[in-house]
Amino acid sequence: MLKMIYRFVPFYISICVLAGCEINSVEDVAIIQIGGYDYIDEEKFRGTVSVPEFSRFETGSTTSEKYFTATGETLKEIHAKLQGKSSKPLIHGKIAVNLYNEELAENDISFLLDNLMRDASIGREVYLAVVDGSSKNMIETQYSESERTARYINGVIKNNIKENFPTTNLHDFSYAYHAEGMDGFLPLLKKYSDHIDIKGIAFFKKGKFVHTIPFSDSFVFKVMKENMKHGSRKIEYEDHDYIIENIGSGVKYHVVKGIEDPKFRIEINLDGILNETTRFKLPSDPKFLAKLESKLTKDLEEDCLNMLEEFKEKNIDPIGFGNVLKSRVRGFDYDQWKEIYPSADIEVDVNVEILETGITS
Amino acid sequence: MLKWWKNKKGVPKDPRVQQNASIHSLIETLKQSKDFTSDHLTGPTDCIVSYIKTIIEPKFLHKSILPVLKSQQLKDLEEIKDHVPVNNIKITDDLEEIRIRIMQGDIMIRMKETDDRALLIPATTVETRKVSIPEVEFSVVGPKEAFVESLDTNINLLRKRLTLPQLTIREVMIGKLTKTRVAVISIEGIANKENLNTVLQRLNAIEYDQIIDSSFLTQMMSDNSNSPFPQFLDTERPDRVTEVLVEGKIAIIVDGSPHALTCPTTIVEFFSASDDYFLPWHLASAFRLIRLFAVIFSVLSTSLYVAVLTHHQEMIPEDMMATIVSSRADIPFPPIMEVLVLELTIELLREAGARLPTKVGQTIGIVGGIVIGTAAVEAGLTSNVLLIITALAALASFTTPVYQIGNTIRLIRFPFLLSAQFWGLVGISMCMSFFIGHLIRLQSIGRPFFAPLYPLRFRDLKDAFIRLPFSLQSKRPMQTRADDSTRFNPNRVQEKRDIDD
Repeated sequence: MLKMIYRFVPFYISICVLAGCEINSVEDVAIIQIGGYDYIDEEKFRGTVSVPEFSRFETGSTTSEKYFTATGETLKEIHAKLQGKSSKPLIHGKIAVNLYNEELAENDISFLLDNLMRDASIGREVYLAVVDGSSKNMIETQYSESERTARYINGVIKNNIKENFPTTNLHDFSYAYHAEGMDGFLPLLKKYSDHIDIKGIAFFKKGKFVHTIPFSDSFVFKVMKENMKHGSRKIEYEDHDYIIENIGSGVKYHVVKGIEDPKFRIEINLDGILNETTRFKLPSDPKFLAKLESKLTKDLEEDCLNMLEEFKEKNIDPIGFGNVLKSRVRGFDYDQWKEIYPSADIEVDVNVEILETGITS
Repeated sequence: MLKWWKNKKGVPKDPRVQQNASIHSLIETLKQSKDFTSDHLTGPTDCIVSYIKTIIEPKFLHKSILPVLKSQQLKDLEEIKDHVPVNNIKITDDLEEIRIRIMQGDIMIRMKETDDRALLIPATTVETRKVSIPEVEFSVVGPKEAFVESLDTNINLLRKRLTLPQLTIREVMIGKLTKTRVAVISIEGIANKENLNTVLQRLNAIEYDQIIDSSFLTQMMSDNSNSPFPQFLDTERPDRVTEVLVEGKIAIIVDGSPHALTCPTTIVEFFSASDDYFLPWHLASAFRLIRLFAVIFSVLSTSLYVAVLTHHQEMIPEDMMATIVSSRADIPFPPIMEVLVLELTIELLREAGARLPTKVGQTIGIVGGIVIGTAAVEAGLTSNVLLIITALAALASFTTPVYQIGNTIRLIRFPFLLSAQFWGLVGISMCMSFFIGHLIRLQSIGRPFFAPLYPLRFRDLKDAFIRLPFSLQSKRPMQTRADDSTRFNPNRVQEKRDIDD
C-alpha cells in the first residue's frame, strides 16, 4: 500500500504544481480576432484590437464587436493598457488579421513580427497587411451585416489569394524575413466608406516597407512567384480586349550562370482559356489563337521584366533569387550577393497555350 | 480434482458442511431436509431406497427401478445391479463418492440400514432453460443459438458444431460449497499445451466458496486483476466459441452460466463482432473501423471538449465559435462540471435502464433522453452542443460487440476528463500514454494482450482492425501459438477447378 502511495506521489505533485495555471472557459475570455497598429511618433505607437461579443443563443447571431485602443512604447505596455480596459482577460490565440499602417510599416515592423512569432498559441496562418490610412479606423468600421470586421478582412485577402493575389500569411512573410536573399511582401489595403480594397502589394526590405505595385499588376507578380490555378489577364489586341482565364501556370527558376556573374531564367508555362472578348465573334483566321498567344507572351514577358527592373532598382528581392542561388550553387556568399543583385541578369521565358475558347456559335 | 478437495480437508468451519464420518451421519444430515426420502421396501426385495426427491426423475424411479425391486426377490446389491436396466450403476463403500453422487441426484440403495456399501443409480433431472436466441451479442445474420445455464447443453451446442474426436473437454470442480463444474475445452493438436496448462493450473488454484457465474472466473484468473480491461473474452454465442477453438484458443464454460470464456485474447478481439465473418470482407472491415472510431470518439470526445474550451480556445474553428460561445453563455458551471453532470446523468439512465424490466426500461430511456436532455438545456444547466457530444459518445460506446469492454469504456472516460480539466490536451496525452502503457504490459494467460500492435505481428493484423478475405487467412493467429498453425493449404485455394475438359 505504501509503495502504491509512493508511486503516485509525482502525480499528486504535478496536479498541485501544474494545475495552478489560470483556467478560463471560452465564454469568460475576450478573444481578439483582429489587431492593428498605428504610428504616432518616433517612439510611440497605438494598438487597436477588436473583440467579438456573442449574443445569447435564442436571439440569433447579430454581429457586435467591442474595440479597445491604447498607446504605448512597447507591445507589453499597450497590452497591459488594453487589458485594463477589458472586463475579461484578452486571449491572442484566435487572432486572424494583423494590420500595420503605412507609416509604421515604413519605420520597421520587425519587433511586432517577433512578438507574433514567439507566441505559441498563435497559428502561422495569420494574415498580415499594410493599411493605407489608419488601421484603427479600418478596424472600427462595420462593413457587413452578417460578418465581423476580422472575418470580412480575412475573407477579402483569402478570396484574392485564390485568384490574382500571391500567397501571403505570417508563415510566408517570416520565411522571407529570415531567409538569406529573399524579401517579403504583404497586401496593401485601403478603406473606403463601406468596403475595403486591396490597393496593391507592399514590398518589404526586412521589416521596412519600401516599394509598392498596384493591384492590377499582381497577376504578373504571382505568375513569377508561384504556381497558380486561377486568375485572369487582359490582352489588348487589334483594338479589342480579350480576357484569358488562367487555368494553371507553373514557374521554374533556372540558374544559368553562378555567383560570379549571376544569370537567371524564369520559365513560365501558362495554360489559359479565352473567356471574354469585347467583340461579338472571334475572327475565322485559323492562326488567330496563335497570334493571341504570342501577344500575351510578349506582354507578359515585358511586364515581368519591367517589374523585375523595378525590384532591382529598389534593391528588393521578393521572388527570392538569392534564395534560389543559395540552394543551387556551392559557396554562396550573402554579402557578395547583395552587391551583385542589382546588376544580375534575369530573363523571362513565357509559354502560353490557349486551350479553349468556349462555345462560339 | 478430488485430490484437490482432499488437500483442503478441514477447511470448512460450518459443521453441516463438514464431511460426515459415516453413512449414517450423512443420512442424518440429509434427513433435516424435507425433500430427502428414505424408503424401506419390504416387498420381495428387502432394501432401503434413499434419494433427494427434488433432484431425481420420479418417472425413472417408478418405471425402471421399483418394478425390478418389487417383481422379484433380489438378495444383494450385485443382483440388483444386474437387473436394473440402467448403466453407470456403481456399488461402493467410498463415503466421499456416495455423498457427491447422492447430492448430484443419484438414487442410493442399501440392503440394511447399517450397511456401509451402497448401490448408486444415476437418475438426475436438471431444470434448464431452452436454448434461445442470443440477447447480449445479437447478430442479424448467422446462427441464432445462445448458451444456456446447463453445462451439458452448452457442450452439446459445441459438439454438434465440431464433430471431432480431438475436441477435448476437461472438467474441474471449483468452489468449496457450490462445487461448480467447470469445463475446459480445447482441440487437441491445435491448442497450445502451455496455454492449456496455464488455464488448468489457474483454475485449480482458485480458492473460493462459490462460483456463480463465469465472470467470477474472469476476475479470479486474470493476469492483472486490478486492470479495468477484461483479459478473458466472454461470449454467449456457441458459433463464436467454435471459431476461436478452431483458431487454437481455449474455452472455459461454467455450469450455471450462459457465458463462455475464451483465452488468450487481445484487445482487438473485443471489437470484432461475429457479424464481421458473415459479411463480405470489405464491408466487415469498414464496419470494424467504424466501431473502432466510435470507441475512440466515445473515450475522447467529452474530454476534448473540456480541454479545448478551458485551455485551448484558439483551437475552436472560426465558424463554430459563435455557436459554442452563445450556447455556453447562460451556463453557470465551468465545462468540466457541465460534462460531469451530463455524463453522470447518462450513467444513471444506463443503470436505471439495465435494472428495470424491459418495458419500463424503454420508457426510462425515452424520458431520460428527451425530457431530461431538453429540460437541462432549457434550464441552462448544460449547453446543447455538449448534449449532442455526450449523447453521441454514449451511443458510440454501445457499438462494442462485447458487453464487458463496454463497461471499461464507460469508466475510462473519467480519468481522461479529469486530466483534460487539469492539463488540457497535454493531460489527455498523458492519460493516453498511461493507458497504452498499461495495455502494453497486460497479458491474457501469459500472452500479450495488446498484440498484434505490440508486439507487432503482421500476420495477426489480417484479422484485427480489418478482416481480409478467408482465402488469405491461411494461418492461425500467432497469438495462440497453435501447435498446428496452418488452417489450409493456400496453394490449393488458388488452383483453378474447371469441371469441363
